[in-house]
Amino acid sequence: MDFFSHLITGFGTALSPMNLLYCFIGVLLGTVIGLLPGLGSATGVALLLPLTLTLSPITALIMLAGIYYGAQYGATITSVLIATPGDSASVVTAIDGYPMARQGRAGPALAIGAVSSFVSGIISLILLMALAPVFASLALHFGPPEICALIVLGFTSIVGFSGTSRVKGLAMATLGVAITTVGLDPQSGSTRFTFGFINLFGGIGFLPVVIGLFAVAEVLHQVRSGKVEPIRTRFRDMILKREDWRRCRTTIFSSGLLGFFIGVLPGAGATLASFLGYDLARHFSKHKSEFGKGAIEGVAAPEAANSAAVNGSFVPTLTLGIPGSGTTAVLLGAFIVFGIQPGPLLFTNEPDLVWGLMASFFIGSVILLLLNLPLVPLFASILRFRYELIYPCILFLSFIGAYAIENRMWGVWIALAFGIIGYFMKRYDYPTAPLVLGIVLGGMFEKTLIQTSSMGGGDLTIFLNRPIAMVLFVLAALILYGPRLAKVYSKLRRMSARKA
Amino acid sequence: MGALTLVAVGAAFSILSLDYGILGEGARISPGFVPFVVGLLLVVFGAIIGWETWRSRIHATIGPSENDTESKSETGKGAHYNTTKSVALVFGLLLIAVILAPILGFLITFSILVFVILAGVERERIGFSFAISLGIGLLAWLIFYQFMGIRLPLGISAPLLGG
Repeated sequence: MDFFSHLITGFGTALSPMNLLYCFIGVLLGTVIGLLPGLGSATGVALLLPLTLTLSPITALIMLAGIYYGAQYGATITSVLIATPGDSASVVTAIDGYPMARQGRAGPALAIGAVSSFVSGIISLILLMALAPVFASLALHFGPPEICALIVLGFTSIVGFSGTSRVKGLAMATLGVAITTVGLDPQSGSTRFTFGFINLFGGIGFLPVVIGLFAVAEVLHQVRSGKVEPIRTRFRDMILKREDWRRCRTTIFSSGLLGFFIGVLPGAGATLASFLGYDLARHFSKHKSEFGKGAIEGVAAPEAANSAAVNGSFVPTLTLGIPGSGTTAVLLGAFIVFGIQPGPLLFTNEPDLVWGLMASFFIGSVILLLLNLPLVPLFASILRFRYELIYPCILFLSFIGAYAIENRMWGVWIALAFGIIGYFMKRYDYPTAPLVLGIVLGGMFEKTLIQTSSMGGGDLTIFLNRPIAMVLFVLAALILYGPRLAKVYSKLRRMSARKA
Repeated sequence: MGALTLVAVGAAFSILSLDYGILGEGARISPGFVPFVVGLLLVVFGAIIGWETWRSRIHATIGPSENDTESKSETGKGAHYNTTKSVALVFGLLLIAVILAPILGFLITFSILVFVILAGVERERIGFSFAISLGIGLLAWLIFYQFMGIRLPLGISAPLLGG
């Protein structure tokens, strides 16, 4: 059978009334889970896995996949409306989404989030369907040195998140990396900076930190700002305008492609994709100065990258049996529960299941868009309530979310501590996004650096023998110093022209 | 203050990481390597931020006239005091709630927190505050406890909530 006949079979399976119904239920439940702070897609899929055990494997996997991308969009809604990212991948969306909401543009922010997720989701699905084995073999060329170089490239995006002071951004990213060194050392398994305190053995959880830095700190910041006026917008202001779409077209495409490639790499994940997608959009935008203050591209880019990375993460999961992200690791567990062995033979042995699942991603994206676009004005209308009524509820739900991540009070304490840290960071103009980026990438960076050091017998010049890593390093250097070099070059040219 | 904190945190990371070893056999990276380097970087960045802040303060002394700043600070003083007091109050209430949650039960403690913030800090009507706190508590119980199966600490409210 060729590609098209596989595709027809896949759609035939996915469009059966039963699968369609469970896809819808999955997307709906996923959206609700995404709305709850702290409960990201991985937790959602793990929590709802028992509900699917009585279903046929394909129906169960379709429902779980629906929960996965439903949760991604649900997290976007809280990021935009109340600056409370539901999961790590939607942290970047809050940077421009929340200011847009405060300017009365919550509707366009949510709508562009849904549309960019949909468009990039479809582009990445086509890539997934047509080229999954090719990308899988490409991913195999990414060893620890390449992943380490990719993370360094990820760190360069700090420049875009640093606001007024680049040094403060760098300091916050460094602090983020320092935080990830608390707990068990990835190499030896010995404990660091735990001072015998058992709760610190597992390190400082990422999501409680995000809940503290964004949700709790924002509430304290708003309380300090005094009365926050409710945002009353007309219905027509909630609709995406042609100008908005024009500004975001290229961004969605480029960030989507980038997100897909990052998603393909095992371990890199949607969070890194969203940071890099945002940075890419900022670099090439004509409205650079608006970024961080409510640029619509600042919402479209991370959402497109995030959504494409979700689909990309299925490449190593389906073709190699290696999870591409935390959620696909849980889904991989679900495959095994249903007696299916993902790996190179999956496409040959279970074509109906694989193609049915991939076709369901497409259908799920359509359902997600149809479900959420009409609800955008409804979601956005939450901002019509007085902030004094909303913020106690935000605090309540945020702390439950912080507890639910690991089912222990430790997460709540971390959220509280980082809430006050985040409040002072806001007050003294220290950017929060680089700190989050440092925490996201720090652990991975240390692990891959140690692995690279071991590969080279302690000699880090091993990087020089890895062409992909070198290309990524050069790219990182260009991002950091390219604009300055270009300025120096044009200055020299002007001087030489004057002399001539 | 922020710069000093960064320098102190960085120095602490660097010094403590020496116990874990920086480079091992054959110059391989040891557990203390990354914390040592990031600690040093924090010290450097903290020092730069401190220097920049000090320089900007010196420039600021040649800023607007004293009368201007005085009149501005007089008008904003009261409001600033009130909002800072509110932040301290909300943070204090949060701290108390987190301490009491395992004893009184998570949902009951945080419902009381919502009530106290609404009625005490925001001066909303008692009945209205009670209705909102009860509503959010019930909603959280339904979604998190009943539907998601998250075992929140019930404390003394265990018999009431069926724990």
